[in-house]
Amino acid sequence: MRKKQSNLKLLVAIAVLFVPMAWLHDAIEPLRAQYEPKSAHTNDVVTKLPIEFALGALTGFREAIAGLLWVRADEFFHSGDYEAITPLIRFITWLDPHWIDPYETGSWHMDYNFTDVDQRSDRRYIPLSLSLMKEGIDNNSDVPEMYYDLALTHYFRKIQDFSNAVKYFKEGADVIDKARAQDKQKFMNAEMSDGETMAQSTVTITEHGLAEAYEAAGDIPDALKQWHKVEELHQFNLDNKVGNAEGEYTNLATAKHKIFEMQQREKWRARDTKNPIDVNFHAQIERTGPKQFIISGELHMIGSIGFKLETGVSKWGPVNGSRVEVIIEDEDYVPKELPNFGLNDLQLDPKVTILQDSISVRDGKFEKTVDMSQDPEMYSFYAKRYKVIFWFNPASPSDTPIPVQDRIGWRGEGMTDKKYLDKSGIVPGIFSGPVKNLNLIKKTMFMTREDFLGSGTKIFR
Amino acid sequence: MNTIFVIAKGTFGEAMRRRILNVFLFVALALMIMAVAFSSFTPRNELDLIKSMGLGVIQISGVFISVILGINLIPSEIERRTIYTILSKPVQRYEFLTGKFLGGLMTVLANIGLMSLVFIILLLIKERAFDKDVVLVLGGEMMIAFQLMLVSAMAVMFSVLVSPFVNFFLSFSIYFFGSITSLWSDMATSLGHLALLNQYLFRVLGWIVPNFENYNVQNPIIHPDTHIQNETTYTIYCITYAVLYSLIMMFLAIIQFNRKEV
Repeated sequence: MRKKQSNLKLLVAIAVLFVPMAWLHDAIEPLRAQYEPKSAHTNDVVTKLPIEFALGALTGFREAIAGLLWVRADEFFHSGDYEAITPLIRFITWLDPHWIDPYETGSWHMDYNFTDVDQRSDRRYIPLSLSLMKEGIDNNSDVPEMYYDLALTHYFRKIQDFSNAVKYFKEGADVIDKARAQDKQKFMNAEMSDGETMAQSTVTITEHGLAEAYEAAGDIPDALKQWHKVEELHQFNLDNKVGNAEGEYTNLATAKHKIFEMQQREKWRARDTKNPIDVNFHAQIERTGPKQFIISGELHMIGSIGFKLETGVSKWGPVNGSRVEVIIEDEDYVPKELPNFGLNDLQLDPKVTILQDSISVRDGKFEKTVDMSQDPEMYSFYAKRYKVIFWFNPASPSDTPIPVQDRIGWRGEGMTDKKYLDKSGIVPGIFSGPVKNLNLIKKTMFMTREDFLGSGTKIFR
Repeated sequence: MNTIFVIAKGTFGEAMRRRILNVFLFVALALMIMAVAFSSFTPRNELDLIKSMGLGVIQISGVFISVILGINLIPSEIERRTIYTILSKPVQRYEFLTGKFLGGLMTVLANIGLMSLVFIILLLIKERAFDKDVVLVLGGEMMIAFQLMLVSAMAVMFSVLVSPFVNFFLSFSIYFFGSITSLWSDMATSLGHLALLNQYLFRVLGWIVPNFENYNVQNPIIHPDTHIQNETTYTIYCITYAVLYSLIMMFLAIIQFNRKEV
């Protein structure tokens, strides 16, 4: 009888304890999300991860296994087995979502290092690379370095999508501002992986980058505002003895010079771009064999020689160093971003052909030999029709030297062409849509598969 | 209370003499030392790998020790018939069971304490400073200790219900299932029309089977810059959950032990 009563009491106690226990279970779950972010694709990963790794990962060795897989990825890279790397990166970032190296290095590999025999990168990887970086940002939204890397390495340098570069630099700058506002002292003392303090490093990396991106996007008022912010931040670091004083002085001087330079250029370019120059653009493709061509043409650029910023006095004449971009891709190919970095997306479409290259202009002429026959996996020429686009982008710092920009302006307002002036703002290969008030020189041609695969010399204009 | 303590102390002394546990301890220590040598040829930050391997080894060997010990605590007393001598004295059944559990838990904690000590020494040799990293690792080890408390309580509860052989597989299966509940839950939610049903199913299962992965906090330890919001709340919740769940397991064990013809 006593035993029964005792058991009954225990059962009541269990029932009473169960309620707060169940509540705690539900309360822990949302907090847990920070330890194991969910944006990675568990289904994909778990079903395809080798069993020994999956078991290890599920028994407390996630980060160690991520490290071992990273070693493997590195070996694959050195042996040239690129296709094996991307699935490993998927596994690694699922196992260790707060490890930012695999996002950065993995995306960099995809954007730059998977190349054809002439070191042209495989552009089909770009959407994958972007989705991996964005997953990294989702999982590490308070790490400014992730935003900076996506903005600079991918949007600014690789794709030359300056609107998106501004967007992500700005998001990174907002994260920095938030961290600074939350705990100024902690922010000032926090050390980055390179040994610099966060207060110092974030200014030279993200804040400088944002100013450059505003300029490339043609938004000069915001670029100036941003340089002023950079100036204030360097002054603050100097006043508060943050970081290396010598470096801060140099950076402060750079910011001041940039402001002066931009203000002067804004004034002189408004004057000098009033009478647009005709660049007399011409481009053609000469087939020399199956999938082998000579791309050539003319672009007559005028630029400043010995420009005096203070007085705006300059001599004008032909200037070398501009670059013409060319893309050959399936007629119906539209670049689009992937919603996520899933294992199923890693199989590149073998039927899609995209080649993008840039050719430097010397003495008003450009020419480049292109051999697509040695990389059949990259250039399958499966589609029946292709578009070939040649363009010159005056906003791109890598395509337009500053002396040329002094004559044609940040947005190409000082240039024209009888046939190929394009005011649509549609820049091939970028994801953010038409760019407002941007003048391009652009020529689009359509060619058939036979045009590319045929033998014998033939010129296409 | 004194009776419970005496039984716990006796259990601890006896358990510490068991060679099988020493084997786990030595294997774990060897693995941790190996991790230090092993990490030198990886491109990843050596310290990250050492921390991950070290904490992983402590966790998994702790689970083995908890299960092996927990499944034998009561059956071995019955098999050796020592339980009759103990229960014939003025010892309540709940006192006996609680004493055995606490003794087992002390053994587990002593074992992981030893492993942790070696691990911290290795870390200090590598880091050459007692800094934030070491404190974070200690926090991670504390969470592992509470995870092992859950595992021990579960194994002791099953030990009054089933044979040690069945208990071994049962405890490990539940540990494994409990370690991957978030994974199952993730996979279930992607099943389209079944997603909602599965969500409820996993919620109810989550109330019954503890999510052992909650006590695995290695990621922010390895990446100290990771900003975790409400970390203290999370830790307090997890510890309270472990205590409540262990209490429930012990109450269930006592109910079953009261019914048992011993």
